[in-house]
Amino acid sequence: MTPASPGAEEARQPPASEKGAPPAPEPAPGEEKPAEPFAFGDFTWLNGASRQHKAVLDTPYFTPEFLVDVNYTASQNNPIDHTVVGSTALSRNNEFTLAFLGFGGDFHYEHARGRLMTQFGVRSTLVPRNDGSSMRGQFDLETALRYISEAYGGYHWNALHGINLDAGIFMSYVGLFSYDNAENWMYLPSFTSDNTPWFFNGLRLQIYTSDKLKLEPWLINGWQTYGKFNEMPGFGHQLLWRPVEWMSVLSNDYVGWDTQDAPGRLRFHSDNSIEIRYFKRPDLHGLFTQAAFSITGDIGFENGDGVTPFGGQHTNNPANCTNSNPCEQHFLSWMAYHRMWFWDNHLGFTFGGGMMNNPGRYLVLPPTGVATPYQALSTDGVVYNAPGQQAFSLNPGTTFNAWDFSFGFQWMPDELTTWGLEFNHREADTNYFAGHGGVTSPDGYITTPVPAGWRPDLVKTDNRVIADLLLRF
Amino acid sequence: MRTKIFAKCLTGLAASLVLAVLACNQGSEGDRCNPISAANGHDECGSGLKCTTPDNCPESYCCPTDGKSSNAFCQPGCNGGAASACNAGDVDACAFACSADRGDLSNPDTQCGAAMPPAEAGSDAPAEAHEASSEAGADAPSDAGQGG
Repeated sequence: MTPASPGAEEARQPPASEKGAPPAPEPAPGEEKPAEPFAFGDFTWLNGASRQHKAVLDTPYFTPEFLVDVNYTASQNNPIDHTVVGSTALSRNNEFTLAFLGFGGDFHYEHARGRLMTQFGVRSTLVPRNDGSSMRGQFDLETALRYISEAYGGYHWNALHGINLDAGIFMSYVGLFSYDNAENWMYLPSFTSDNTPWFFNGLRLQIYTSDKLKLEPWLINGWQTYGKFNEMPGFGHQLLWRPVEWMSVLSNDYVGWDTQDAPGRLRFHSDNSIEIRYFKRPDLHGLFTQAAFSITGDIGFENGDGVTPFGGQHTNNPANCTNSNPCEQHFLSWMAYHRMWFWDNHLGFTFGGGMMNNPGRYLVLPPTGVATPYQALSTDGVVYNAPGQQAFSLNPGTTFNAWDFSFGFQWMPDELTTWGLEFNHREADTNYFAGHGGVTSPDGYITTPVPAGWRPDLVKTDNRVIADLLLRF
Repeated sequence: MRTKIFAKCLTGLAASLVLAVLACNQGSEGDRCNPISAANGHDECGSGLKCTTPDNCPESYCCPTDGKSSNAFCQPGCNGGAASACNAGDVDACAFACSADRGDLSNPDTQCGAAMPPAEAGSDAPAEAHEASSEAGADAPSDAGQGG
């Protein structure tokens, strides 16, 4: 699970002071119109930001958008059920996969504003499945909302350099990569990005105090949740600072209560990134035109109701995690990427990777199939099935360490199209990724009976190539 | 000129990257295999191996055709498989698991005793005990000891 980058939104939408406010009143003579936020530079080089310099289909009241994301990935493990474990970007092996198809756009008229982006393709099941809050109560939030990736309405004030108040489902900013892969340097991000939220459901207030700084508090249901796990909402904020064109600083912080039946367990998370473009020579037109890097560090923890950060015990029996003898539960991670552009920025080469340490596994993406730790609804929506005996444990007391590296190319013949090819290696200290036997059944089909005690084939390493086509109008 | 050389290097690197991962690799001894496609004549195991379901094992593995193997997954019970089957209620597997994999059973005193049928014992076993055995999983006995 990851974040849509802040840069994505800044680049995608009209400047804040224009959003929802065309035509803006002309300033009085002698009165200086506030500068548009982040309009002083070209930020299309950023990881997680649109590389389009203008919206192709823009109109005064509606800026339509159309996104296509198709991938083909092959794992060296070659799981017989064609199932990828441990990603929100990849889902199926050895198959052409329509990961995401979305259409929608931004509505803006006077002070009113809104955005809709639909979500079709495998991501409409891949991402909502990680939200356990929709298992609370009725009306099947997962089904109701899975085909929407963003949907909010809001109001714009011409104050400072623009203020927006939005309500609905909006992209999360935790982590650096964008939910829209066309905006990213790599297709499959490291754990710091893949395992953190893609969306929030609630309110956000965007305050542009200058053309270089945005402050954005949130009041939300929870950590990438449609609903609430407990009674308290989640609180968070983003700070985005771009003092110069060659640097962007992003910080996100979150506090919430996101564990079923554990209202006393507080979650804190802090996500911090810096991106620097240290080389730019567009006049060269040839071999090497631009270079940049990004560094992201996250620290988070859960505390209370039997867990504690940076200490505590590890155990296979969660019943042993008590307030008097709590289990260790925190999240430490980093990722770093380096990007070079060639041939007038038509070719990009990126390499990077990262690590994560997550005792308690509260941010580990749960495997699926026989290994799923989630209770499953039956098809009629009434009968609940307990997790199988071979479920991958996400219980307090467990441990999880993983790392990855990747490198890849992106060919960008124009601002709308990206062809990508990359290699990715992931490794964990516990059996987690899909092995050749898969996680579904002896022959990989859900229609084949599973023998009693059949164990999903989870392994510690995953090497894969990913080819992708990303289109963005 | 330099640009052309660079382009060729990039193309070569990309092609070798794809080939390295996609290269056809047959199953090695102890690797998982598909028993149903093997039964249809499409055995994915390497030379000298065949897709085999060892006794008291719920999965299938590539094992030597001559039956001689030191690989744990090619032995009866397949490295905890009998215990997993017993935990899931397979009565036949319990007899083997009680003698060979007692440590992997969720409730050995009950499952291996005569008082209660193993199937019932398995269904009542604590979930966390099952998880512990599943995480030890296919090839990672070290994980079983991760708990404190």
